Amino acid sequence: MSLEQVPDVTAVSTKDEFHVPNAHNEPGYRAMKQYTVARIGVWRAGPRYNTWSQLHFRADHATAQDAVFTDVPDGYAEENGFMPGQSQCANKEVYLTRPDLGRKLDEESKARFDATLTKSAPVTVVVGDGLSTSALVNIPKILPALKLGLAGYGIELGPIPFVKYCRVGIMDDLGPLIDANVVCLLVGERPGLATGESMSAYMAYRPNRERPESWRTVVSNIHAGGTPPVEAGAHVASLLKRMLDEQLSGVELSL
Amino acid sequence: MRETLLSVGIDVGTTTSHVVFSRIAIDDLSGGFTVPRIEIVGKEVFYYGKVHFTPLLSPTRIDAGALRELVATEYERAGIRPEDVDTGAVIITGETARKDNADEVLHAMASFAGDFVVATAGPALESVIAARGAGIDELSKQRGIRAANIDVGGGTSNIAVFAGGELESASCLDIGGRLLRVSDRSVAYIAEKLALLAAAEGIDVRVGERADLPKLKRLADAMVRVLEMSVGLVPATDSYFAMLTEPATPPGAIQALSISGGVADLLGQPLGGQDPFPFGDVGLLLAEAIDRSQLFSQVERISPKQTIRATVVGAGMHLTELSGSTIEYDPTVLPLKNLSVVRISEAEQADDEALIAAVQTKLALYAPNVAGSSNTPGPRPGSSPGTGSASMPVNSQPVAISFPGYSNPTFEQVQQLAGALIAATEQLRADGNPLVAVVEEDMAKALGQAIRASLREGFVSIDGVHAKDGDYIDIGKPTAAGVLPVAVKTLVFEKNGEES
Repeated sequence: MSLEQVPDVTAVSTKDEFHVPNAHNEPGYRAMKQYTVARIGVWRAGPRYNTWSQLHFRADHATAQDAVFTDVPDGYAEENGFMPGQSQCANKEVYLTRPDLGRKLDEESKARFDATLTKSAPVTVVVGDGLSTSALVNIPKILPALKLGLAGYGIELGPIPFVKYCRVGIMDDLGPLIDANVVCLLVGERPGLATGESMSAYMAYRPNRERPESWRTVVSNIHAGGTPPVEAGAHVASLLKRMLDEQLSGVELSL
Repeated sequence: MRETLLSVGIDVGTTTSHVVFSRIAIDDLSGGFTVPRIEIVGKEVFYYGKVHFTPLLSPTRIDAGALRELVATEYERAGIRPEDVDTGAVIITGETARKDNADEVLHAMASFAGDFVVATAGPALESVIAARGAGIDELSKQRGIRAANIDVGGGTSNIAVFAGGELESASCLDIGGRLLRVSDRSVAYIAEKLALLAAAEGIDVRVGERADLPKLKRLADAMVRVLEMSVGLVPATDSYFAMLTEPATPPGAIQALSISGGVADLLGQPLGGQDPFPFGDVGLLLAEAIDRSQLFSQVERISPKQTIRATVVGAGMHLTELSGSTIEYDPTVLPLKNLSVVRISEAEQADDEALIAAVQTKLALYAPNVAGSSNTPGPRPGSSPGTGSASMPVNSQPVAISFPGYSNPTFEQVQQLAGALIAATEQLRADGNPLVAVVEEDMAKALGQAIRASLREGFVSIDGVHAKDGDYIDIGKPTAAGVLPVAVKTLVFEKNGEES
């Protein structure tokens, strides 16, 4: 069998896959399945999945693995007009085994950001790979919507830094370096079996190392099948404006 | 974050009128780590008014003064002031909707009842509201089946069919318990269309003659046969089409049925030796004929959540929905009532010229209707509350532009849509109307911000709402959580009316 003849098991969304024979109410079952990508209605052979379901599961797992283990290509930051930078992780293996190093900028990046980023800006947006390089696919949708929303509030964005091997805590390292007021980190989420492209926006007012985790506000689940990235960008803009106005973030900011 | 909206429902029916007050609880279900998801989490009627006879001055006029008095008394008893009311609806139903001063009374009641209480009329809408009050929409959704409700009142029977929670069809028949009245054991009144049905069935009933029980039972059976046709249980004959108030086609096979309305309260009471005309009409005979019919022998019988109050509870509790949670608007233009819906198709939304042309064509279509037919729930031109423009020209009616949107739009698609909507509404906005965009997919905040970049003010952009050509939409003032209460009023059903 040539490669072209092998059917793509992921071509059909789990929402639309239905293998229950002689279902009592198939249209009702299918309608219910539209609410979730959970693997229900996949049927079985004895105690096991059907071959098709098993392959679909494996394919989704492979997608998640790829999202984590793929490196952001060289030149990504420059091609997208971002200021390139990196955490103290030298490679993916260090990144995955040393979360602490993923929260700190390396010396070269520190110097570059210090020299090039806008100091004391009302809002600084940061882009990071995080645990899903695939999630960067959302950037061309979320970023212009975010910029337009902020412009509507009279807030202009300066240069945008990109951090490779990035953990969420990087904002606590970057914030004090450039005396940032509100920092918004757009970062890939640890993928699950539903999608490898999920992104989160973490936001904090004047972040620094002393702040607790609860000082951060997050909008998660930004991807094609979750909150549409364009809409998320518009919503994040309004949240950033509120943080600036109220000088608060995280659980202190009542949403 | 949980908050409560106070909602009123007022139903002025053929025979009886009702007022109910309910609380609609809304809450953010997102859990705080995603975008907000503000939804209705509970509905509860906390005050059921009395069942009043609808006050009439003459067979063709409603006693507006007495009706207002009656409603005011119910507000007082419930301890509610009109200014406390957040949302709700007034509906004039059945034969009462055909009275000479119905429109006038309807709008007077709506403005008395509260700031965002909407006026509604129209047999199809009435059917939908009664079915929601009976709980048939929920039932069909939960069980994934096709289910119908027939609201059998004094003047009309209203049929709505839901499949998997989605409204499939709605119709209305001139069949009701008080269309033949009896006093002193003789026939005192028979409605014209019922007399025609009787004649077609070979039943000779005349005003003044002695009320002959076997004959009237046969007439009740004939009425119920038409009800059976209305839910597709038996093939429709000419009688069915003759008794419809507006053209309709019978639905496909249903799996469950409920009967609401005043006649529903009389079901399951064997005639026995009692007076067959306890209310001076054929209501009891009609109920008894329903019990004997195929209506319940062929499909599962569902007990409605409401019987005689299904319509008023539907109007008070189930007409209001919420917009999506991430939206953008200029709060100074709200509330907006009775906006005609201009529907843009999926193909039109992607093409500036097609979108602009579609909006222009439909605005031109609506303009002559501004004068208002008896079926139009909209207020008279220029009197629309909320637009705040007393000098609004007659030819420029406020509209809402509805379109599917995109499930995962690009930024360019949002920009394009915003530009096209702004261009298409140039004249409308020059006349003092807001730009109102109603999208299905979750993208209204991005779209609204794109509109704001050009217009700054005078716009509303909401999502999570489906409205089609011929519908009317009401958009209320923002709740504390910032979402907008929305009521979509469907008046017209056409089999192939919806674009792909």
